[in-house]
Amino acid sequence: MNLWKQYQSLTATGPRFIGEVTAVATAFGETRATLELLPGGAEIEVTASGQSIVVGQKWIVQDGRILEPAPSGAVVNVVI
Amino acid sequence: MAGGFLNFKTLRPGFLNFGDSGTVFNEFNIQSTLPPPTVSMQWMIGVRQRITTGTPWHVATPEITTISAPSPAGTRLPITTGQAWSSGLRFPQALSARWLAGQPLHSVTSSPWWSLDTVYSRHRLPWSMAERLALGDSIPWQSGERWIFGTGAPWQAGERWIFGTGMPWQAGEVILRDLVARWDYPPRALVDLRIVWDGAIPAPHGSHPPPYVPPDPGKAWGILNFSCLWPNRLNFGRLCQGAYNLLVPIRRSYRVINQGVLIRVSDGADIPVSQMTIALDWEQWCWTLSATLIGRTAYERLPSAPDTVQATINGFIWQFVVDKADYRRAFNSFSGSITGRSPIAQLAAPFANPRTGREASLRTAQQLVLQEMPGGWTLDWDLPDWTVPASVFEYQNSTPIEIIGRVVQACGGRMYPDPELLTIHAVPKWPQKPWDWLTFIPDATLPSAYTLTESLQQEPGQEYEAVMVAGGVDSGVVVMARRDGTAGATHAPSITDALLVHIDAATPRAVQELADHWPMKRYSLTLPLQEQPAGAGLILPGTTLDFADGADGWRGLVIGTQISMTWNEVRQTLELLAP
Repeated sequence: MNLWKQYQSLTATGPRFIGEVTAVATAFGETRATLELLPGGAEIEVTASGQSIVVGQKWIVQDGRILEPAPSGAVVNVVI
Repeated sequence: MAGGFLNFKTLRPGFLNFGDSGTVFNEFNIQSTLPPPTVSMQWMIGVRQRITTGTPWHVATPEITTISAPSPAGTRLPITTGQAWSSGLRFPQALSARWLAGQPLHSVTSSPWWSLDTVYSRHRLPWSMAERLALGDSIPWQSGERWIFGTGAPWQAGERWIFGTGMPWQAGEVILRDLVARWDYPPRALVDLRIVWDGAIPAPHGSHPPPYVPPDPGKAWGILNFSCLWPNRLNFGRLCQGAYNLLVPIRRSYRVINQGVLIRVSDGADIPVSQMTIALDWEQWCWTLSATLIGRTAYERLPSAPDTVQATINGFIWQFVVDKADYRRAFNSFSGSITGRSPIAQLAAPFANPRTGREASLRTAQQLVLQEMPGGWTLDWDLPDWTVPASVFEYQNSTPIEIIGRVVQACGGRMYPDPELLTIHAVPKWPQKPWDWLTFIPDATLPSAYTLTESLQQEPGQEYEAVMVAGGVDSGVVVMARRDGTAGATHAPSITDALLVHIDAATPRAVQELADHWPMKRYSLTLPLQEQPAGAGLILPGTTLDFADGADGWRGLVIGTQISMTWNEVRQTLELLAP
């Protein structure tokens, strides 16, 4: 197996998800947002400090934190 | 001689004596008048000898050399291959048929060639009436006159064959034939062969007829063979191993003569090595080389980048740029080793500097790759192409090879350089979907008879049913890809890539992401390295093949190739994945 892949598996981060913001809450100076994941519909709550979060936006999240904004277009379903 | 002067100066004893020499008073003069001298000249009349020069019959007369004999098919023969008529060689005497070499015919059956006049047919006598020729009348063969060459047809310039004189093909007329077969009266059936049923009677008491044994109908039953798959036809789920493109025929034994060498490309200087290993993995973008040097001379002959070395193993050629070379020297010992990469390494660190930038113009994916490639290199693009809007593609601290790799991987591809040519191949990482593994025709079939070792290792995975891939916030697309035949209930981790701005790029990327998580078996095969058709050849990553082991086998995808050469053997090790 590729050595770089082996190293990546040891230092792997969590998977990325795309979610739509359904609620925003601020407590003790920390902004937290509730997102509904696009594939599956599960709801997770992530930290969104330093971001301007608005309900209805789509964000890319990883390991409980918001990373960057996601495309706002409609989801295209394809069969492979 | 009619005149002259008396010479009294020279006295001669015993001849004229005029006494003592006189004084002045005894001087006398003799006066005489001599006739004018008469000059007679004789002309030697030379007769010019006429030399008759004859042309030897065996000397070829020079002829025109520019004439070539055209072929009847209309294709002009090249001048270089035409037979010049004037270049006739001297006819060897040894090849001339001498008349003395002939065996005399029997006197009864021999017929003089020219001793008979023309006999009219009405005066011809039957052969049986012929009289026996006397032996004295027969002319022996050795008395034949020499054949005069001058009477033969000399070689001369032949006229050009005119195509127009040929008989062209023309439309033939349809020949009408009466193909109607008239019905004839059939022969009368033989009524004597008709079996007439007779009245059955009971068997005599005590008799036991033999048990009825049905005749052997031959092979009246069997097992339907649905193993050979046909695309878009019935699929009974069992593979037919060995049905496609057998790489090497199955033999009782295989003989391989190994040969390997490492040279410097600039001048062909040999670099002695005791071991070489060349490898390519589907995760790598170049071939890698590692070798063990023999002696300090080998170390001193190593070129520095960008000059290359060339490895040749059993007829297969690779070129490398030496990345690292080291040696260790001790008393009576020397050990050195080198590592190298394909010449495309000049686009990677440390030969190329990393850059940070953003593409300000609209480009296609191929154009993004081509503008990073150096001059002289070609791109073999076997991936979907899509348009990337301006200011979407940006990179930070990336070398050109990293930029190329990012574009290729965005649509689920991979790249590798050609072993010998300055070509980069961009191909799909998964040429076939693991969940449709039984429906495609593989590239080749490898018989187990040609392999030396086989090993298997399980790699667990997840059979996800769907995955979401998305582009960037600018112009990106969000694609939910679901496997055909599933409900899409389980989802693989989502993928985001700024270059996913078109569904043509997002779809193959989704296939690659689901395939990467698929549970697979990892096979490892060791086999000789030998050119086809005697051997299986060099099997590159990305090749799908059937491993045929008699009636059993499996179908796999080659993901890694490693060539190892030592003193006495050359081995090709393949890494394969199979569901």
